[in-house]
Amino acid sequence: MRAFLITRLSFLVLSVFGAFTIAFLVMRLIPGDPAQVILGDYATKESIARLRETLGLDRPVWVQYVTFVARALRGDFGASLVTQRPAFFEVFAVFLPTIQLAAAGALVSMLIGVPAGVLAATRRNQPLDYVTMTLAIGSMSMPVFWLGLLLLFVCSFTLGWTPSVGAGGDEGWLSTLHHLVLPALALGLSLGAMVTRMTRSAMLEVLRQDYMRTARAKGLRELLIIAKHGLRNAALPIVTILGINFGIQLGGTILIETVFARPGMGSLLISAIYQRDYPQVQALVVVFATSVVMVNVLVDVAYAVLDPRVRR
Amino acid sequence: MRRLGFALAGLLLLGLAGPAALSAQEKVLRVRIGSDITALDPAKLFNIENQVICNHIYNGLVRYEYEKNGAIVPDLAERWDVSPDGRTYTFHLRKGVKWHKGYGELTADDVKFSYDRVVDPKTASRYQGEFKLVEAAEVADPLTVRIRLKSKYPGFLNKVAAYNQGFVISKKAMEKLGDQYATNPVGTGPFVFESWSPKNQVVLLANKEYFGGAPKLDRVMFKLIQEETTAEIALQRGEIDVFFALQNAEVIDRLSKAPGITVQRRTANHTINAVLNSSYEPLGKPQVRRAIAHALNLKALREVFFNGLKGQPNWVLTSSFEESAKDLTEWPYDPEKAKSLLRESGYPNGFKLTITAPTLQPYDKVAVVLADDLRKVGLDMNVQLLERAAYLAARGAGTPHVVITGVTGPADPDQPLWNLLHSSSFPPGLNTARYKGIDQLLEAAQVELDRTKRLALYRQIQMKLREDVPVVPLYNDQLFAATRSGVKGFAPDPQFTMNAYPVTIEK
Repeated sequence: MRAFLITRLSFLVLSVFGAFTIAFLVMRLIPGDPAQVILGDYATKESIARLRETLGLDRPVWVQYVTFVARALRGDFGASLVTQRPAFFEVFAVFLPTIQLAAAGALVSMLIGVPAGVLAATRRNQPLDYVTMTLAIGSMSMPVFWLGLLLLFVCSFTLGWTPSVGAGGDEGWLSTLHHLVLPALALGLSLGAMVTRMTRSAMLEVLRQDYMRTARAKGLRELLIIAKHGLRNAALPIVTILGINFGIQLGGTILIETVFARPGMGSLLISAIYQRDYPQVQALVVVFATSVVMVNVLVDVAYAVLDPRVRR
Repeated sequence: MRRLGFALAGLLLLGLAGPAALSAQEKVLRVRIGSDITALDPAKLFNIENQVICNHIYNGLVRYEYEKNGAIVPDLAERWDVSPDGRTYTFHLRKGVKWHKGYGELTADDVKFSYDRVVDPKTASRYQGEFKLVEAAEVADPLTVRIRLKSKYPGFLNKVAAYNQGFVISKKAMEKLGDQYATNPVGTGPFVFESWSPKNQVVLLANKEYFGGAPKLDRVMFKLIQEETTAEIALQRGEIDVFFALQNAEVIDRLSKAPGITVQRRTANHTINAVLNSSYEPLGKPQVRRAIAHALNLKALREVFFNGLKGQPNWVLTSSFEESAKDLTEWPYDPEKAKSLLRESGYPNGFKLTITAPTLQPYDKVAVVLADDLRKVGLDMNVQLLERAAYLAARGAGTPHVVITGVTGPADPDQPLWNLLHSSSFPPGLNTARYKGIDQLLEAAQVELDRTKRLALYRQIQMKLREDVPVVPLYNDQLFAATRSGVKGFAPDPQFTMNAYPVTIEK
C-alpha cells in the first residue's frame, strides 16, 4: 500500500508541475502585455519598459520560469500584479466557496445519479428506463449556465424559496447552505446525468453475473442483492466518473459562479487572465491542478479500498 | 471513499462558521457592481468600479455638484484664489477635516504629497499626464496649498476635482502602508473603507465625523453580480437596493415595467468612436473619411440595434457638455453619396478595410454592424476582434485601420478632445487617427479665460471635426440604474459613477 501511495503522490507532483508549465508558457504566448494593461493607453514606452523591468518581464522566458519555480518551491508565489497582495492569499480568500460548490455538486450528482442509474438498470428496456435515460440526456445536453438561470427564475424569482446571489458567507452556516442549494443543483444535475449513465451500464454488467443469480437463488431480498452484491461491485467505474467529474466541475464552477454571483476561484481566474496578472494565474493553476490531481489520487486510493486486486 | 467524504464535509463545515447576521435596525444600502475592484489608490483607479468606491472614500479640493447642475463647488478647499495671470491657484483648506481610522487631520502636506505622487514616474500613474501643466505644488501654510502652472489654464479646477487624480490621500497612511495602501485606503469622505472580499463585495461604513455631516446610511455594500439577469432577479427579490450600470436592453425594458422599481437614465460624458487611421493610404484622404461617415447608418444603430438606449454623440462632446454644438449634426446616412465620394477620390472599386474592436459586449457586435454598412458601399471589409489586452496592445501600436475607441472623463471638454485628437496624444495615447487639425484651436481654448470666446473656440473645433472626420462618433453612452422603492435621493452621474451620500432608505 505504501509503494502504491508513493507512486501516486509522485505522479501528483509531476502532473501539477506539467499543468503549471503549460499555463506559464501559454500566458506568455498570448498577445497582451501586463505592463501595458496596468499602465493604460497613455503610458510612454519608457514607463512600460521600467515597469516590465520591475516585474522581471524583460528577462528571457526561461529565466523567468526558473526564478518562479525556485521561489515557488520555497512557497513564494509572488504578489498579484493587480492588488499587490500575495497571489496565494488571493486564491485562499475565494477557495472555500468554490470547493463547497464542487463538493456539493458532486454530492448532488451522486444522490441523483446512483439511484437513477440503478433504477434504470433493474428496469432495463422498460418505460422507466427510457424515461430516466431521456431525462439524463436532456440534462446532460443543457448548458449549465442555462440550467442555472432556469433554476434561478423558477426557485428564486417565482417561488421565492432561495436567495439569488452570493454565497452568504457573512450570515452563518445556514445561510451558506441556503445559498448553496441552487448552484449545487445546477452543477449536480448536469453531472448527475453522466453518473446515471455510468451507473446504469456498470449495473447491467454486474446484474448479468453468476453471483447475482446465486444471491437470488439463496432467497435474499431484492433490495439487499442490488445494494450489497450489485452496487458494491459496480462501484469502481462510478468512483472513476466521480474523479473525472471533479475536473469538469471545477470548470463548471466558473459558469455557475457567474450566474449565481458567487465569489470563487473561477471568476478570479477569468479576471486574472483578462488583466494578464501572471503570478495570479500561476498560483490559481497550481491550486486547480493540485485539487484535481488530489481528488484523483483519492479515487485511486478508493479503488484500492474497494478492490483488493488493485493494491498489488 | 469514506475518507474523501469526511474531508469534503470538513471543508464544507469550515466555511459555515461566519459572523452573525447584520442587525436589523442598521440602514444598509446594497448596490450591484458589474465587475470587481482592483485597487483603491487614486493614482491607479482606471476602472469604473474603483472610481465608484473612491467617490465615497475620498474628496478632491473641489467637486462637481451633480445633485444640482454639475457646477464646480468647494470640497476640501473652502475657497480658492486665482492670480491675475491665471497661473497660480491658492487653495484654502477646511479646518479640522479628519482622516479615517485615526490618521489625524488633513493638512496642505497631504495635498502636495498626493499630487506630487501622481506626477512621480516611480508611481507609474495612469494620470501623470493630467498634471502636465503643473509646475509645482507648494505648502504655503498648514492649511494653504499653492499650485503654480506652467501656463494659464482655466480648466485647471477639473484636474483637482473629486475624480481620479484629484482625490487627496493621507500622506501618513501611504507612508505607513506602502504596497498595502491600495487595498486599505484612507480618505476623508463620507464613508470609511471597511473590507473587500474579492469576487464578492466591498463594504463601506458611515463616517460619523464627515465634515459635510454624517451620512444617512450606516453601511454601503457593493455586491459583485456580473450577470445582469441575475442582478435583475436580485433587485426584484430585494436582495439588492440599487442596480448600478445597467446595460442589457431587455433587462432595462423588463425592469422599467416592473412594479416598485424605478429606472433612471442619464447622459454620460462618454462617446464611442470609430477612429480612422489616416496613415493608412485610403483613409488619408478627407473625402474617403467623409464617405465612411455617409455610409454608416448610425441612426439605425442607435434606434434599432440599441433599441433607443444610446444617445446622439455629436462631435465627441456629448450633450452633457455645455460646449457641445448640438446643431452640428452628424453626416446623414447616404450610401449613394458615399459611393460617389469614393469614386471621386479614386476608389471606385473600394479598398480593403479592417475594423478592430475588443471582444466585449457590445463593441464586438457594433463592429459587425459597421462593417456591414461599409460593405454595402463597396469596401472589402474585415472585422478583427481581439481579447481586451491584445486589443490594447494593437491600439497602442497604432496599426489598426479603424478602431473602436471610447472616451470618457469629467465635465472638462478639453479632456476627451485632447485625449482623442491632439497630435501629442499618440504615441502613446488614443489619437490613432494621427490627426493634427485641431491642435492650435485646442491649445487656444485651453488657455482662454473668457467664457464666450471659449465657447466659440469649441464650436470651431467641432466644425473642423465635422469637416475633416478624423473619427466618426457612433453613439453616446447612457448611464442606467434601477432602484427599489424605498431608496430615495439616488442619482447616477455623467462620470459613470454614483454617490450614496445623499441617499436615504426606508424599508
